[in-house]
Amino acid sequence: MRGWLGLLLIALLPVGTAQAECPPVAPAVGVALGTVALHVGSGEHPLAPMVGAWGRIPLGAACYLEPEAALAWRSEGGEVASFDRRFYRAAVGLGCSAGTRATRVALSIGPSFGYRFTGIDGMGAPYKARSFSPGLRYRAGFLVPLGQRMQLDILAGGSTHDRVFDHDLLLQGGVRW
Amino acid sequence: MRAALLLLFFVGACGPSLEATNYLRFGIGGDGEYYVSPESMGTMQDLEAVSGSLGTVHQGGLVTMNAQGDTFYEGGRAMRVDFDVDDPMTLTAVPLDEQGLVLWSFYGHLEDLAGELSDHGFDRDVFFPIDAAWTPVLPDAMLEMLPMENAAYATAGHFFILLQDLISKDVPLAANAGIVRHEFGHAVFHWLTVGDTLASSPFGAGAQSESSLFYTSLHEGYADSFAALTLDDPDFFAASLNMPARDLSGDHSVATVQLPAEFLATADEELLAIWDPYPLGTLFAATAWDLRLATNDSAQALASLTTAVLTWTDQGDLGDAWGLLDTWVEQAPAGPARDSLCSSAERRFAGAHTVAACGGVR
Repeated sequence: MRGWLGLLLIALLPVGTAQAECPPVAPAVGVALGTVALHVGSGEHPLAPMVGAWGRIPLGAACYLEPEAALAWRSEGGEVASFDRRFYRAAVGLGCSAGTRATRVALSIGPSFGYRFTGIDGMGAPYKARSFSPGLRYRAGFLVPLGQRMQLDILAGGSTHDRVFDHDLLLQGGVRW
Repeated sequence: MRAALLLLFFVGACGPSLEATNYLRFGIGGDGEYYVSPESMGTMQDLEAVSGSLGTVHQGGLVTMNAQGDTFYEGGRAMRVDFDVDDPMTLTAVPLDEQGLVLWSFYGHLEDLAGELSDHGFDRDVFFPIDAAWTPVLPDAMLEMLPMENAAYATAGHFFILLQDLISKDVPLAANAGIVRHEFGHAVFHWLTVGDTLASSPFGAGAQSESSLFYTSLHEGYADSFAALTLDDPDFFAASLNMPARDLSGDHSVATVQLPAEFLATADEELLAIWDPYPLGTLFAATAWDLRLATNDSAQALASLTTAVLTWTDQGDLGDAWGLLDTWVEQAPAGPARDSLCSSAERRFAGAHTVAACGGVR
């Protein structure tokens, strides 16, 4: 896993093509795609796909505020009890970055709010469960400008809810100005 | 003040606002099929931690084993099952993921069994509380290579080991009542043969004698018998796994089963020879099922086998599987029970053992 991540980062590093006149951190919006390891009752973290939207508001030359919203879903179970699980998360991270204009290492942290919904089909008998969970959102990764108008970031992190954690790895693409 | 409010926002947990009186779990309906349905809390005291007076399920931790084969468990953490109670009419706790349902079902199956033990002549206080370890680190390299698709009872340590299913099933293994009862049957057999759930096994870890291999097969055979007869289902695996080799209504016979002496004769020549205790154990369990069919009384069939195990234990040779078969027949009252046992012994064990007590009966 670490090997693959390393190769991905090596591939990304020379891609950053920000022009000299671009600020290191620019306003941006975009979409995110990746995977999340969702905590379950037994303490394990099965994977689920995750999509989201994000924005970036510069705070000075290197720091930023990053609101984001994400959705993950996972189906599990069998014929006797099938589970349709949804996980929604909204978060705002305060981040700072360091590095070159082409590629910057970034860290962010902030509050998050998660909403989980599970629908269970017990052979025609429906059951529902919901959970609202405030928590802490934390991320680390690389911010990679692509020319003057595009942004591609890879960020790994997670969020807490109650006393447990979810982990995610997201690729963020968007436009900057 | 603002900082304090922010901290509360971070750490505040929004648990269920209603107190549950039921929890959702797998159960078996009157038609013998599995369903999910609300069941009363019973002895369950903490749904989040999956804990009650019958025991607690822990996650992770480390299982160790000494040279005698005694097992120990340490370092397990508390479960954190997310759930909701959203219906004020039923007050049923509903888990947010499948693993929560599996863990609650495991406890629920123990609850059902605890309520039936006295019907079978057992004192539940001998066996409960009994804890379980979910996906712990295991002491045996061979076991670690097979970390999925299994459950186990740890002798001497007196706890269950539950492992995650690799492949999704309609009824996950830990939620299968028959598999829970099979593992509990190991606890009963251990207690019957050594007299204490915390006592060491009569054969040490890794023992490879003819006696020890017979004993491990009888362990499996009794566990299968216990599950099948308390559930009155000879194929209790079927809801989770298609295993015709373990269906006790099958036409199993010793002709296709390797016996300990044959295994030991070739074990040295094979690199990773591992005794498979199940085929021989299944012959004994199938004999118990034959008895249940002949007498139409599953409780009586289990009592017959249990009594035989106790008498055979007193005879002092726990590696003498044929001695158990002989004792079983000798103790059975003349009539359908003994006829059934003699018929099964002849059909299933022909060529390997002849029960002397059957000579004048059939």
